[in-house]
Amino acid sequence: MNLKMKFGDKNTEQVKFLRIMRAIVLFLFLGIGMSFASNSYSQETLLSISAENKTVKDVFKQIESSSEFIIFCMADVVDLDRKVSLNLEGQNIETILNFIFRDTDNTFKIEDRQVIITKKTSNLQSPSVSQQNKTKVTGVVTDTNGESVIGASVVEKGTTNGITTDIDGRYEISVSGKNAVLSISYLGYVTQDIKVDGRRNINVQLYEDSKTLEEVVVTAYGTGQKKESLVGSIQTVRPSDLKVPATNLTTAFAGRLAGVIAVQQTGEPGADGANFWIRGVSTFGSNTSPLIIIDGVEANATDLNALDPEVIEGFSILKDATATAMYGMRGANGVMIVTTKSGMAMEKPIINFRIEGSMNQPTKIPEFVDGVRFMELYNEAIYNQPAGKEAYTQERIEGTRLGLNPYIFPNVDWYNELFDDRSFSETFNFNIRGGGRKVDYFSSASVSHESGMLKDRSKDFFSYSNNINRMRYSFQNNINAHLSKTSKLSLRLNVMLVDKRSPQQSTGNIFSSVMAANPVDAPIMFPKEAGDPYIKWGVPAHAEGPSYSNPLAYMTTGYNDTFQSTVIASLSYDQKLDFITSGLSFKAMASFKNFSNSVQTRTAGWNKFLIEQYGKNEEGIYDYKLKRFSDEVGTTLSSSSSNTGNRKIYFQAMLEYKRKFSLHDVGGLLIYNQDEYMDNNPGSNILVALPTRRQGFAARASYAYDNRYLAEINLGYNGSENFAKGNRFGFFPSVAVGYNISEEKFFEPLRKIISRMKIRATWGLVGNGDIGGERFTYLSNISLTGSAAFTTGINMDKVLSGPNYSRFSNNNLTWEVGEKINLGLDLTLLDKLNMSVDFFRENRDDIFQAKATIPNYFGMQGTTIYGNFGGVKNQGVDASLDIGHSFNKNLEFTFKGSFTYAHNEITKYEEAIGEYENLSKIGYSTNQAWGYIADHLFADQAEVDSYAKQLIGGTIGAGDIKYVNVTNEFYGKGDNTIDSNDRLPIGNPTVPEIVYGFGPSIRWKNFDISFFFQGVAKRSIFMSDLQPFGSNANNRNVQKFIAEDRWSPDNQNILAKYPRLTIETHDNNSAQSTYWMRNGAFLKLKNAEIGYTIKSMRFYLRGSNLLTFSPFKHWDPEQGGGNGLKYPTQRVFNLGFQMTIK
Amino acid sequence: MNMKTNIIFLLLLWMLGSTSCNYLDIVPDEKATEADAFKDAAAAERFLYACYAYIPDPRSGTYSMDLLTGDDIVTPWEHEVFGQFARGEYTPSKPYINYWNDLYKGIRYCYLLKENLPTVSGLSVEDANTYMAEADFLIAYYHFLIIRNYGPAIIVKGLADINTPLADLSARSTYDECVAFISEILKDVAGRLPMEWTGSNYGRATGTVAMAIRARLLLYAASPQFNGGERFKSLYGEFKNPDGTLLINTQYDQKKWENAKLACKEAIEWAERAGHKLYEAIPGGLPQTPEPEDLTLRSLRFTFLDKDNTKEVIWAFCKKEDTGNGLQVKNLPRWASRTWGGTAPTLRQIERFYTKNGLPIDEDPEYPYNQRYSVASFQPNTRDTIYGEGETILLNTLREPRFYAWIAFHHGYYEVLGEDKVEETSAYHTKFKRGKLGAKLLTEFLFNQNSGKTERGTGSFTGYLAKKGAHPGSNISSTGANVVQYPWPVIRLAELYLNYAEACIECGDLETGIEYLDKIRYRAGIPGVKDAWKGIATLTQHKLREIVHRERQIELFMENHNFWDLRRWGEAETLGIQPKGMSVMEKDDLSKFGQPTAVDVRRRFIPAQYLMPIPIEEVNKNPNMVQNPGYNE
Repeated sequence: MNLKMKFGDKNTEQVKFLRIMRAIVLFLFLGIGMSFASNSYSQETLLSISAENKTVKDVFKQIESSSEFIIFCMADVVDLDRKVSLNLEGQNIETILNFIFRDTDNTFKIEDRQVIITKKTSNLQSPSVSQQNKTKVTGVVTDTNGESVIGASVVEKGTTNGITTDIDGRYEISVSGKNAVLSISYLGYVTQDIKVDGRRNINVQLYEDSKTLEEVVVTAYGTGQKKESLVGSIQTVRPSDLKVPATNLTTAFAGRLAGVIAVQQTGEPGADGANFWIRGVSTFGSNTSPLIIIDGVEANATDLNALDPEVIEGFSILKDATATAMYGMRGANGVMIVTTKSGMAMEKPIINFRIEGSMNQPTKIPEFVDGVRFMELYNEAIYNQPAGKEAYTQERIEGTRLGLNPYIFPNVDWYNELFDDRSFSETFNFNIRGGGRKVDYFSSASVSHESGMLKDRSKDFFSYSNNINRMRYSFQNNINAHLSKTSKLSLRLNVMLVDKRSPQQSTGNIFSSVMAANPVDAPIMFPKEAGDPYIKWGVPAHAEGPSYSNPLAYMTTGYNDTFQSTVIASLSYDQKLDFITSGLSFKAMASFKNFSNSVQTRTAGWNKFLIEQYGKNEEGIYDYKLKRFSDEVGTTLSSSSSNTGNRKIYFQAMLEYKRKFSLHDVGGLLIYNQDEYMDNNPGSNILVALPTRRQGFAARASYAYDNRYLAEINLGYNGSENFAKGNRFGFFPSVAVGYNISEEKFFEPLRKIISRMKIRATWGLVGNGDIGGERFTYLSNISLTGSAAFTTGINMDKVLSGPNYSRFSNNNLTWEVGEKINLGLDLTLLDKLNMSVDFFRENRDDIFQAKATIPNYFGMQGTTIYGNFGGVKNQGVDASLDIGHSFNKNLEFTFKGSFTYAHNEITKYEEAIGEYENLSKIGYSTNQAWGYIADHLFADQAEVDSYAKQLIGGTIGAGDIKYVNVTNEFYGKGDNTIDSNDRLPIGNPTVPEIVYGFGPSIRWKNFDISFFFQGVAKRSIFMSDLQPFGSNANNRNVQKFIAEDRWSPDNQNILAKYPRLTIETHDNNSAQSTYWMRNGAFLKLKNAEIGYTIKSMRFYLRGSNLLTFSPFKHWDPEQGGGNGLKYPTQRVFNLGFQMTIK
Repeated sequence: MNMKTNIIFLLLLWMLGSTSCNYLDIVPDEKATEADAFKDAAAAERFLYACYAYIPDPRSGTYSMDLLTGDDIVTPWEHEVFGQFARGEYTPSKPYINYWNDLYKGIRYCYLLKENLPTVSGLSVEDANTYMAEADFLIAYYHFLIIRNYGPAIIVKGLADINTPLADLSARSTYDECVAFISEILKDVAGRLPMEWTGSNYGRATGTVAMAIRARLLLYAASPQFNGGERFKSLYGEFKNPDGTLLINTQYDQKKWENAKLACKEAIEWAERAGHKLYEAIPGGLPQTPEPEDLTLRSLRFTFLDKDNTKEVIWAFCKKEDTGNGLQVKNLPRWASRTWGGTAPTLRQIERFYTKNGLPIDEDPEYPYNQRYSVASFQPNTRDTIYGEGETILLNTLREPRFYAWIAFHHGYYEVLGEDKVEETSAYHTKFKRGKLGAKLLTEFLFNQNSGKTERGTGSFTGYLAKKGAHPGSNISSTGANVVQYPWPVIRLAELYLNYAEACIECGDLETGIEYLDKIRYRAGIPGVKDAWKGIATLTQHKLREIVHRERQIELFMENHNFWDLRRWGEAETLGIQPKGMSVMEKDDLSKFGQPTAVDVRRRFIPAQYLMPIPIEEVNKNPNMVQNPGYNE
């Protein structure tokens, strides 16, 4: 067995370029500095080593810890357990190594700071094999990128005959014969066994084995920590694992990041990011979102979604108090840290480009009835509920059925008139990564284009197109200047531009306009006649009321041109302070973010027409007389514009200390930071115009003994301007301990099965200072002319208003505090299966809430008084699992899975429920819905009359929903009414409590194929706003399922899927209840991908949202409740090509 | 090395420099505070207006609880908020219009004003005293509105302490205590309020207003609902606070009528002293609107529309009317998307109007009661021609002037200005123009005719339109509904007379009752009570009660009274009865049109709804608070 040893860790100091790219890439990834200073280092550096009967391994460790040398060797080449004694003062490395290996068959090679220990050539030959039978084999070992691998070991299997590759990756070995097998291994790569088969030249390509890499995890404030010594609960992921269409990162979080609950609710380009929460929701306060940090700068979900996955080096999800306490009152909801790639010193830059095209299809859309059915149902509703409306005549119904005249008897399928069943998008990314000794760089440019699923109908009528058409240009430039051996200046610049065309109406309104129109009341337009200066749009006769009377006109008349720019620039300076004391460093960072958004809106008027009269002419053909509805309006575009924006300035300074004293690892960190956020267009509100500021200190101390016992203390001390003086600063401590039990001697026998095992426990306090969404809630708020107005004067012309008290002061307001406890277990089995399980609990306290118990007879309705009243307990488990196995160089298999369960309960809540315990939120989830318990539908009027009075709204009749009299049945209040006091918590929370994902990937030769399933469970959704026809005289459309199974005079099914139809909104039937509750669980084939890699090129075909399994059938359950009329989530097929040039 | 050290020190200095401890002090001191709300006379005046601002808009076309919700009117707009009141679908969980919160908010503003008035600089003592009196008046008025809506109220006597413990929250006071509290304030404040407000201050409270509200308050308090009416003995018999206090007395007390009578009398004296009198149009007088030409009709139609000349209006609500969905655009004959022509009086209200002899249609021997749904014609060249032309339903002939002034019917007239550049079926088309300068329109009510019900479900649901409140000078054109704005009467002298007449009759002072009824009848162009009923009926107290109720329902039709009067008389069950109208679906045959049919609207009334429901949350918040009877059983 070959083992590449590395005996300690090193901090980067100064990198001298050498033609050994592979090593640098690897070592950078390890986060371990390598020093390739002038060749003179080995000459100049003098070491003092003393050891009494120590193993060679220990001596190596000692050398590494007291110098910058890194020693590489193979275990079966060097006897590391051989005991040596030496006492050398002020000697160079060569002398020391010569001493250690003086009586052995080992030799060594010193390349600057890298020491490679091999066997003496003469001793490499196996004594048992005669010289004549020897075959010499040569070759080059490279990685998948074609980089030569230095120091890889090449051993003839079953012998001690072996060698390491040189700095060009070359090897030369004499083997025992044709049938010899070479075993090529290197740390971090899959070991390969290759039959010689008489070949003289065997070039070997090694594949990365990511699992065995000693990952460095990015922790709070961008500092790194070895995964091995980590005690906090941090989940990391590389963007390559997310496999999403490049336009949207957050949609990939669900099921892939243990501890992240995510749901994507719309598929609208530019707005299709997922909502996500780290470990669920722990507060009913206004801010439940995690803190997002991109390269040290606080960002928002939009910025995150806008990042091209290509530029991201990795994500870290900071989940427990140890991970987030340093963020103080920003850390309670968890932190997501994103780092972008950096350049590196290399001879030739690496150029990477990727091009991807996608086709998007809506997953599932609601279906509507056709015109004839609509009219029949309408007439039925009139019969059920008289409301002064006229029934559709038999003549109209027949006329529509026979399609006699499309203008008199329209039958319009508005959904299909407005929306396409597919849309396309394309992405192109180009990035280059390179550098020299003094400066390195990473530069990326990407362009993506997305279009929406709105039909391009506006072009049929007007000169413009107003379908969603979004171009995004994103640039990332990261430059590091190595000013000296010990100092580095880095500039990170991210510029993002969005240029978007969209309809002047929001897509939400356009989708609901389909619900608000019906197939029969108006044609799209009347035929154009010669001389018509404009289109004669059809409107229903009842157009007097509703706002959208012709969805197509509504959608097509006008558009918005939006231009957004986001610039994030950060400048940081790193200084090693080894001259003060070894292991000390200083880092300062200043960053600036500016967001600006300008919208040009162009709107045109549209002319409405309707049929005044129709009838049959002499020939018996239908004829009609057209009439204008309301006045003629100009159709020229009018224009308006608006600008919004904000900026953020952040500064941070940090002093870090990291040193290893023999077996003791000591670390310390001290940080100061401040930030300021300003609205660029604050308008006249003085409070909005004031900057939002934060200021804080944070500190960390960590200690590890022999990598076995780990301890860490984190402190955050920070303040926000949002609170009254004296209440501004909070102190947030956390402690953590970890135990690498697998490092213990007694564990050795188990290590074959349990390769690694770590137990972690953390406790801490974190805060959430972002409360209420309002600012300065501790202050009272009076607007001097904000009250309702009163008018006097015989001419009704004196209108005055007085002050409005919108808020009373409360100087004691403070942030929410979360006490977080985490217990974690990391396990590696058989070197193949990695598993991590965390149990967590959080007690969130002091949740900000408006006082709800003040009776309105005090006269203070509309005046809020805030306090820290609430509490929430959140607990659960998150786990991740990955298995990797290489059967041979042609076949690799990996499997990943994650599981998150987070359940929260309100523990304290300011509520006024009187004697009705069933209304109390305490003990229920923050996302729990309350509703009535639907029994079945009333069978007849007699049942209505004999049952308790349902005072929810509307007059009750047969076919209406019958509710359980909760206060009576459950609490014995003896009342005979059902009103809002009869509601109970129903179903599961609306945000899922369980999110999981799993999927295999298989690589076979040049092909790779992967699947990923993702699902949620323990979630309820509520259908609402489905009511056909409706109160506002707008004769809303009818969804198909209603037509198929409803209570009607002819189908008096008390278990029907829809109650009796009514013309007007019937509050009794539309109230939130178990009748409308549905199981929101689903399992999706979220991704499937097949790829083919040849040389440095890769082709792939990928599908997202391919299959959905769910008990809910009407639309994609991930979109949530409602009536399904919003921009649907999309099924995406991507075809991509990626190429890397070196 | 030194250089580096310097850089580090500079950075550290910068870091420390920016750590200055006032980094988080960013809120300027110059923020608006409560003191600014009283800093000078102008601020105090604004505060006063804020106190007034919680008076509900009585003529909001969409949001008036009591305007289009009685048994007198149906409209096609019952999907709007007010419609829930017509249908009786309001409940504690969904009160739809909830004045509870707003009215108490108004009360708090008044107490805040009272508390802070002494601190206002630059406000004359005179003004300060007036403001103080107005605040007191509003406290009383808001309490009055609360008890009218909800019955027994929580009396608020000052600013509440937000830290009041749950157990100390106020319970409701008895109805009689509330009345006493309000009555006392009103009586006290009348003398402190000005006699009148003119010009831009018109619409503020005067002494007469206080006295008139007091008269109305006591009239309500003496009415059966709150004075032992039979209907209410069981409904309110167990209406008690948690401590057992009975909230509405169910024993009849004659004294309450005596008090009401006295208060009405005092109010009338105040009003007459202040120069209020019934409106009578002067020949050739203003406004210069040509129609209606007939002086009696003109007096009736312009009673409160002639804002610059009427002395009848005692208190008016001066907020301008919404010109999109307000009352006038809802009344005026249809002009697509300008005016809607939909406020349709029910057959019940149509039949309530007297005959030209001032008698109910079923009592007037001259009136062919049994043939009233048959087709009849207006006789040309008689007085009939000012009422209509051609064929109509007999019911629309031989009626009193108030009918013709306030109701549009088939082949009657609607006085309004308007262009004629409209389609032929529009009432504003030349062929329908009549009268002086074409300033009245001939209205036709068959299906799809110019004012009839249409395929769209709009138009008149009963075959009638209300003209009351619609200014004949309003000019409708393609550019919009240019309605003539006028302050809406909250109290007018006619109401005071009718209040007094009712109280007198209840007290047995029948003569005075008749005297005041006749004042209204003479202005309406019909004979006095005694003349009218001579030889037809004996004028007993019972008969006169019927007469005064009917007189009130005619005279105050569509003025926010019907909704409340039916309740206080214990007659609100009629609100649950399906209203009737003409057969508006009839296209050609007038005789078929004349057959009464049920209007296609929904009606419901449950006894609980004699009082409005208290929002359920308010009952849940306050352990001492009980819900109104019937909503919990």
